[in-house]
Amino acid sequence: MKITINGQLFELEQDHSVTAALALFLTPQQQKTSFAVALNGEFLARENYPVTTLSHQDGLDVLFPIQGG
Amino acid sequence: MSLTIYDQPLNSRLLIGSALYPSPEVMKQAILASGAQVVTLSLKRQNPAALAGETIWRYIQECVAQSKGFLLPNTAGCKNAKEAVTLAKMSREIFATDWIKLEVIGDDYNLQPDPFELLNAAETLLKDGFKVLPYCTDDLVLCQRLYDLGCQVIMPWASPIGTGKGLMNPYNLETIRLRLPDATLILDAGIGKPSDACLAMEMGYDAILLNSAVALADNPVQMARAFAQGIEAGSQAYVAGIMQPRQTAHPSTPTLDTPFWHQPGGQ
Repeated sequence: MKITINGQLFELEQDHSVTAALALFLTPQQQKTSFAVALNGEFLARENYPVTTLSHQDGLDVLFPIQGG
Repeated sequence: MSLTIYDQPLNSRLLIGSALYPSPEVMKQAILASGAQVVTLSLKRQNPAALAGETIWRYIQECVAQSKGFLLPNTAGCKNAKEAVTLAKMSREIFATDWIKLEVIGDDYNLQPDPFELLNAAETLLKDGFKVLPYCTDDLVLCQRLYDLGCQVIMPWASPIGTGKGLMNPYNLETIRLRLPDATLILDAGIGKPSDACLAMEMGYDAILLNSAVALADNPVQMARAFAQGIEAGSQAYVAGIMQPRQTAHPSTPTLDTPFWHQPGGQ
C-alpha cells in the first residue's frame, strides 16, 4: 500500500502501525525528540501510535517545534 | 500590577515571539532582556535530517525556564477551523499547555484573520478545554463574539503581521477597550516602535505581543529592553490617569503676582 508522510510517498506492507511507519521516516535521533502526529488531518495522540493501523492512501503529518511569532 | 492570563498572573505585560532573530543565541538574549514570561512558538513539518528546529526548541525551553515563564504555541499557517483545531491539539500534546494563540488566516496577501473560521475554531477549542487567545482584526463585533464564546483574552491586530506600521486604526482599538472593559486585551501584530506599544498601553490595553519589531532591529537585545520600558511607561500612564486635552492654552506658571511690567499701565 502507499502512504504519505509529510507529503513524501512511502510503499509499505499491509497492516503497518503508525509506530512502524514513523520508524521509516524519522532518524533514530529524531524519534527521541518532540514531535506530534496527525493522521489524515486529524490529531493522533501518541499513545495511539502502536495501535493505529495505516490504510492505503493514508497521510501522516509529523510536526516539530519551531520558532514562531 | 500584574497581567493575568486565564487566572495565571504574570510579571511582564510583554509577550514575545521566538522567530526571525539573527541567531538562537540572540533570540535567547533578547527574550531574557525583554523580561517577557510568555514566548510564542509553533509547529511545522521538518526535514528528518535537519535538527535545527530541535536547537531552537532547546533555546526556547532555556528562556522559559530562566524567566519562570510559559509557552504560547500558535496555529500560524492554518486557513480553516479544522486545521487550527488539529494543530492546537498537536501543540497541547507536545508543549503540555492548554494555552493556544489561535490564528486562522483568511487572506494570503495581508495575513488578515478569517473571522468566521476563527469563531468556529475558538468555539470548538474552548469546548475541548483550551484556553484560547485569538488573534483577530480590530473589529468590535468580532471581538465581542469571541469574548461571549468564552475567550477571556482577545488579541486584535495593530496592523498586518510583520509590517511594523503600528496602530493602523486607533479609534477601533479604543472602542474595543471601552466596550470590553473586562476582557484581557493584548495588542498583537504590526507593532513597529516602542512608542506604538506605549500608545496602546496608554489606551488601557493589558499587554503587547510582538516579534518582528525586536527580532528585526539592528540590536534586538537593546530593542527588547526599549519595548519593555515603553510598555511599562504606557501602563503606568494609563493607571495614573492621563489629562484631558484642552482646546485653549492655559499657562503652566501661576499668573498671580506677575511682575509689574505685565500689569496694565506698566512698562
